[in-house]
Amino acid sequence: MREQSTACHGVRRTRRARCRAGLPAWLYGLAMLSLAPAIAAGERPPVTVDSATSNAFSHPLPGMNDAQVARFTRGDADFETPFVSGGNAIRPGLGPVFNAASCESCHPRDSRGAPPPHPVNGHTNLADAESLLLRVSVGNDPDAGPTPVPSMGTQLQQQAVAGAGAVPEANVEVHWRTRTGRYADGTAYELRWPEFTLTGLADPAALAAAGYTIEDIRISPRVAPPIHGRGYIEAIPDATLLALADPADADGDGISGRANRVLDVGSGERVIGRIGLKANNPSLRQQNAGAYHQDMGVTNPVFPGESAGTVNRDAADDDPELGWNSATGRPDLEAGERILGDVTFYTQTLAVPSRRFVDNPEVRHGERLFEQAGCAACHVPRLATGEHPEGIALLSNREIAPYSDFLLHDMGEGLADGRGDFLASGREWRTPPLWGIGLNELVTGHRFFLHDGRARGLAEAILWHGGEAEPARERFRHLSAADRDALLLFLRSL
Amino acid sequence: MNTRIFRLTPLALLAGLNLAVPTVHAEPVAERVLEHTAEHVITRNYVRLAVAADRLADRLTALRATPTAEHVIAARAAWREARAYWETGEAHLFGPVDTDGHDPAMDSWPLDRRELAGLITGSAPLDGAHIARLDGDVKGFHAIEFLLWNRPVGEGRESAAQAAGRLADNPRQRELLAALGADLHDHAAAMAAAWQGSEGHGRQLAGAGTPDSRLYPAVRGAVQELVEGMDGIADELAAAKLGEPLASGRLDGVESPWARNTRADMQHNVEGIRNLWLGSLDGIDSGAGLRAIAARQDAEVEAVDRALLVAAGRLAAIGETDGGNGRLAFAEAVASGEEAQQVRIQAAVEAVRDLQARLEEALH
Repeated sequence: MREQSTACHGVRRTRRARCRAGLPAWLYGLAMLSLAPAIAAGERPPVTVDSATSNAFSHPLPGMNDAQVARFTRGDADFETPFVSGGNAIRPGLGPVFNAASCESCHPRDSRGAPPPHPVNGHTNLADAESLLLRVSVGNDPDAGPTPVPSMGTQLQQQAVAGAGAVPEANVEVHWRTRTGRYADGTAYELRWPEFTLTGLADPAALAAAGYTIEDIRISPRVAPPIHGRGYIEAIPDATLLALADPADADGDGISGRANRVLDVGSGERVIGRIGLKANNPSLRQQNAGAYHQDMGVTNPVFPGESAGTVNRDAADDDPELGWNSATGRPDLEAGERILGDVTFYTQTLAVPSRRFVDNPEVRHGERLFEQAGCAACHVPRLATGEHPEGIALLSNREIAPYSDFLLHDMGEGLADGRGDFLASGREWRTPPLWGIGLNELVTGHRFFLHDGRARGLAEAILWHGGEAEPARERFRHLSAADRDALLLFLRSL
Repeated sequence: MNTRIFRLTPLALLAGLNLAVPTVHAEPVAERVLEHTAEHVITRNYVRLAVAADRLADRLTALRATPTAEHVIAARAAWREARAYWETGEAHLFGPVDTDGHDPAMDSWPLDRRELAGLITGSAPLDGAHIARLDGDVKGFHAIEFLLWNRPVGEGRESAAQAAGRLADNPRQRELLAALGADLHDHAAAMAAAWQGSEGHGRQLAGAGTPDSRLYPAVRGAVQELVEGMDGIADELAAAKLGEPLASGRLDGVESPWARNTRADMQHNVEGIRNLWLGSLDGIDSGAGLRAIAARQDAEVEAVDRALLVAAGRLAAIGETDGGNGRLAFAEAVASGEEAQQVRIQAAVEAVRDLQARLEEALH
């Protein structure tokens, strides 16, 4: 079987990584020249970029210097370049188990991924998913985080490098359910949601030996979110987030946002979480390192060991090493500091597209309705950043319009994943920022929203809001059709 | 014709400067350009690609049944024809080609040769459903190319008769070729369909600034999309297709090496830019291309016209030998390590960069 393929189980249908540096550095320089007079006059470069094309999420922050642009461009290339299995000359290190081969394959054009296809009848398999993964656990310790599933860890990898003898950790079937409802004016709607069933575990014995059954595995599906503007989130002061938080609902408005507190792997300290759908990471560096480690099976400075569970341990041990680093006493990392650092910088410096049609009367009407309905209580329109923790001046002390408080909120049973993550309960999610959401369809070609991509458009996404957001959802449900359209038009202007 | 119509922001970069929104009286020109470009340039190019891919699929089916030199020649010619439409279409790599995954399914590079070898020696059924689920790096143009030409640069060329002999001895290669041809056609046909009709992507672009278009609520964004499309392929051409092999001397980034079609690919990229610029697929200024929007300074417009000619000429000159007899394929020119060839490639890079700059000046 020496001819056995080194490629992967399952199907990897990634969108092609084009050598499409967000834009060429020389052109960036040209554009910056036109900003030069304003900058010379003491004005800071703008916070947003004026772009309403399919590249809207891929632009660098305005005002970066040559060295920053060069680093951004390197990070862009790293973001797009797939890893391949061991033994190949270029970018070896994929797997032995993984969800995807590159960052770009789940975040096409730096944007949102899509849920598995929704067949008219029957079900699909997670192997058909291009950009959805499952976080798993058999419990949660608020201090230590989710309890790993024996031989699987805290994330299920449904792909494996066959040539290394690795096997996917489980087969996952996706069943779609639907239910119907009505707006107050009688207009009917349908909501759908996916259910995930694990079948054919690779290592059922490990689970049983630890005293668990397959029903004990908590599953949290995650579609890759868009990643522009994330550097600003790092620069929001802890004090700002804590001031927005109201864990005991002291003001009695029914909304009790709270900050997650998570492990900073570098320092070993518990710090405020701000990145990730449950605010389960403190920084983009840790988020990205976790993605290399878990999503791609790529070792890196933050997570230097392979992610494979015991059933794939031999495959991990057989993964051809890149060389021995005598300084660290470990094998060379598959993604070293150069790659992790540049990709992190890239994700820190992707700009936010400007709003469009701000003065359109219907958009302004929709904006008022957004506030009146109470959406803005969590989707906080404006925040100020402080000093960026890594000192990126363009991100520091800026006025931003993320439409988020970046806190955890109980979103009700309908959206609950039942999987705790540090302080986040199985019903809580971090308020996602809405900036750029109106460009989602142009960039991605689809209108699927929420953590598992269940919503087919923004109206369905709103209708899924429950828990603390139920009163706001009900106000939306009771709006006239014209007012609902105005509110949605406002969202499309973001 | 020299009236200033409106200024486009240069590739989205004049961030937050609140540049003037296009005025109402300016819109008819831009709208006419968008309408014309969507239908007569982009959609028409995809339809031609679908027709050519259909012909390629037919010829690969004939080759499966009867592996003769004539059928190899016919299939190779059909591959080149379909390839030409694909490469001109690379000047507008947005919309369904990207969001529906056609690009990776049709044009992934490099090919995963080991996986492809496994497919040929394996026993998996080579039916449509199986091929549809395969990774892009074992199918599409380059997998078909590999099976039709088979020999890389430096190993001599496989004649049509030799290829026919190889395929006659290897029914599974023929089977795979026919299945890959059908899959390529499926993608090309789906892409053409996605641009047509009242719900198609063509309407989104053509109807920019009207309620017809969810995706482009402003004309400016749609025009900018076209400009970024041209700039994107010009940049890929200068940085990756030409620049990378020139800088590294390596051939692994050189596409279409087996068919020796690399230079033609790149020439068709420039033709794709010209198509958007002139608003036509046949090299005539339709008066409804981006050139019409840019037509405010004759000098700037003519500079683009000239830059297009220079870029096409410099690409055509790559591989010419000083003696004037014969011409090296692009990969051979890179591999030769000869200074004269490097000078020609460098000249082509500079011409494409100049084209980018002239487009920027004319359209910003």
